[in-house]
Amino acid sequence: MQRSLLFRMGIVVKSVLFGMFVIVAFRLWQIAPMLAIGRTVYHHSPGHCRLVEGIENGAEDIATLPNGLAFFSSGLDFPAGHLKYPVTGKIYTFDFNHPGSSFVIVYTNIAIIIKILDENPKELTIEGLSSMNPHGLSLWQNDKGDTYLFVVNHPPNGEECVDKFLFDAKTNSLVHKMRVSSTEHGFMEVVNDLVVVGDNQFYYTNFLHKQLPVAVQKFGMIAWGSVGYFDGQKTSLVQKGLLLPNGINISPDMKYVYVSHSGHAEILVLNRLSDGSLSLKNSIQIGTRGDNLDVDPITGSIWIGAHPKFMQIVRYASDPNTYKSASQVLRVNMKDGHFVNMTEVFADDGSFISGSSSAVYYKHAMLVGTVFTNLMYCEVK
Amino acid sequence: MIPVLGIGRTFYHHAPGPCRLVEGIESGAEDIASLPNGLAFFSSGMDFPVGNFKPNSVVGRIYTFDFNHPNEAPKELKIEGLDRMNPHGLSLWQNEEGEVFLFVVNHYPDGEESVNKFLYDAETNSLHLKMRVSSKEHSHIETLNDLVVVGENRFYYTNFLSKQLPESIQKFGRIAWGSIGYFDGRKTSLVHENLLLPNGINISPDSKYLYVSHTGNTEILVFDRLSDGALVLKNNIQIGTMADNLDVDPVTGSVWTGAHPDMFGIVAYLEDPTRHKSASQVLKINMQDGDMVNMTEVFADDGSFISGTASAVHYNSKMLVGTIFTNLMYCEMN
Repeated sequence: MQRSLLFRMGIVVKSVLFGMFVIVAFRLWQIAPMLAIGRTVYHHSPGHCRLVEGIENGAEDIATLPNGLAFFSSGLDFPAGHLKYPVTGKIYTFDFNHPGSSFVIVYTNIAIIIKILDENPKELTIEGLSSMNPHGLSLWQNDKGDTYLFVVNHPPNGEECVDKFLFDAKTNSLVHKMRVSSTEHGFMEVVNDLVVVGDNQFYYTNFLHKQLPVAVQKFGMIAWGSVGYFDGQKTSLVQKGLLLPNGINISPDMKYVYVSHSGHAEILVLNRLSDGSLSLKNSIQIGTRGDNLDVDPITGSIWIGAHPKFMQIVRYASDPNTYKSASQVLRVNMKDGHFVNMTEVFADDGSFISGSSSAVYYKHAMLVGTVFTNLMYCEVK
Repeated sequence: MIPVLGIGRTFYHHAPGPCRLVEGIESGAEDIASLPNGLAFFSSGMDFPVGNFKPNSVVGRIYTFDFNHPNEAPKELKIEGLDRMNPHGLSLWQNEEGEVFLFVVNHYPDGEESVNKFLYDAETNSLHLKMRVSSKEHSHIETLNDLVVVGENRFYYTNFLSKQLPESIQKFGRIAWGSIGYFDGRKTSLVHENLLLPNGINISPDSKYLYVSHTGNTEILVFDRLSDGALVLKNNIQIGTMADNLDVDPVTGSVWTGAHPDMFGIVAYLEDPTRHKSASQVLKINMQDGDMVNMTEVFADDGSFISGTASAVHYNSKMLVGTIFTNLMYCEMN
């Protein structure tokens, strides 16, 4: 008589199988809310919104100076070598004070002169580096008023870098000044974002660990991400055991570091200690996968570009021109490192804009960047 | 139904502009209808299902709210010809002579269900009872929810629940014994059956399409109307949430609705609205010839600011939002 396979397996094999089943079921139960199964993402915006012409390969991270000049990275290929089509990494500026790119056609008796008043956004020339694959970025102004832009870079050979540039407004260029690379420093895994806290000091997020495949870390929910710190000379890890830590930023008074702990749909608030180390103060549940964080220097509010539908962002990442992914912008009001309240400023099911990853606010206007596709400008009434 | 189960779901807050709760309204504003001149009527103090609340703990009333004078308190209307009200859905009708009639669904304590037709007297702020269409004289009237008037004495209405089965069995067992009825001036008939909790009902400005909120399937049904009152299903619009009443903007034809995105929240709120909050939502659905063009979420809240939104009316960049058992909210839209 034939007995079924299950019956014939030894007790040890059955126990192992059962154990694996329990683990998988537990992981599914943990991941279920994040999947947002069947959830409808309704469209709403805070005012008139438009896609900024000419930007089609993303605007993954945006940072703004107090005067309204914003910098954003574009043409990201992440993980490096992943996109099926060629992209060129670039850094642009967008001037909030002149949001519409304007041409003026001047008629004279003789000829029509087309005068470009303000080209917006403007691509910056990179001096001292032959190619870019830019991801997160952060601005720093020193006492002399020099503006520095630090950018996370993913060169094609698997190296991970943070590059420091000096911004030259007159020539619209970025002059390469320093590189912190994984070839010389440990504690740099797959880097995502950073926040600069001194002339040469910054915190950064290790989104993924290099030792395990991406899919295993993401779907297996293996929390091997971390937050690192560069003190001007060497790197160290200041927070470990995180699941896909993404955006990172700091409160205007520099007391609290904010980390988007996207694997747990939360924002971590961390106290800074004088030696650079961090201690967890509290966590803010936001119910969505936040990407980059921007902090409004006036109100201290945290602005977040987020991905409300997990399966959609996964597919979008594999083929951004075919798959849409629901977009969302949240504004989180803070007080002394504590959550006050939260507003959803913008939402879309991906039809208008997909893959929102960053949002910055400036004087009744908002710029929203995406990982691989568009850049959106909204008036905020 | 999966989206409204709200498993692990966060309900975000956003508003189209400054919003405030209208003072003095604390027993709900279940349905709102407004005249083209900006005078809105709403029902308040509903006890539903009948006997849900302790006797005399709520008093059924009809109020007006003037969009042109939004800072004035809502005016309670005097009811002539009826001792007490337990009002639910309502619908306005203006005849050629300019007379304004308000038709109101009423639930009586003994189980009787009726639609009451009132003549509105603006000078005395009162409603005079003119006609009653009652379940005692008409079959095809089960447990009513809402109605839309299409002629002097003609209206479509929704039978939210059947009287033949306990409510909980119909709701949780998903027994689709709800229906749409039609009163032609003399008798009632059923024009569409086997619906699961049909709730709000309204009509396009050209009177061609009938809209019904099919709550049990988180969708809006669009029907073509035939000359004898019969309905033909044209299409269904999935909205992923449980829309309550429907209001149609006479200028744009857009459908405005107050909805309940969290099923467990609204079930708890229905049992004890003072203790349980329920996520709120206002949707605006742009329509073209009976088809959805697009949809916007105009307002959302996790229930902390306002719970149980059931109706939303838009007038001149302002919005009035009513709830089943608690507040009334007035918003300016930026």
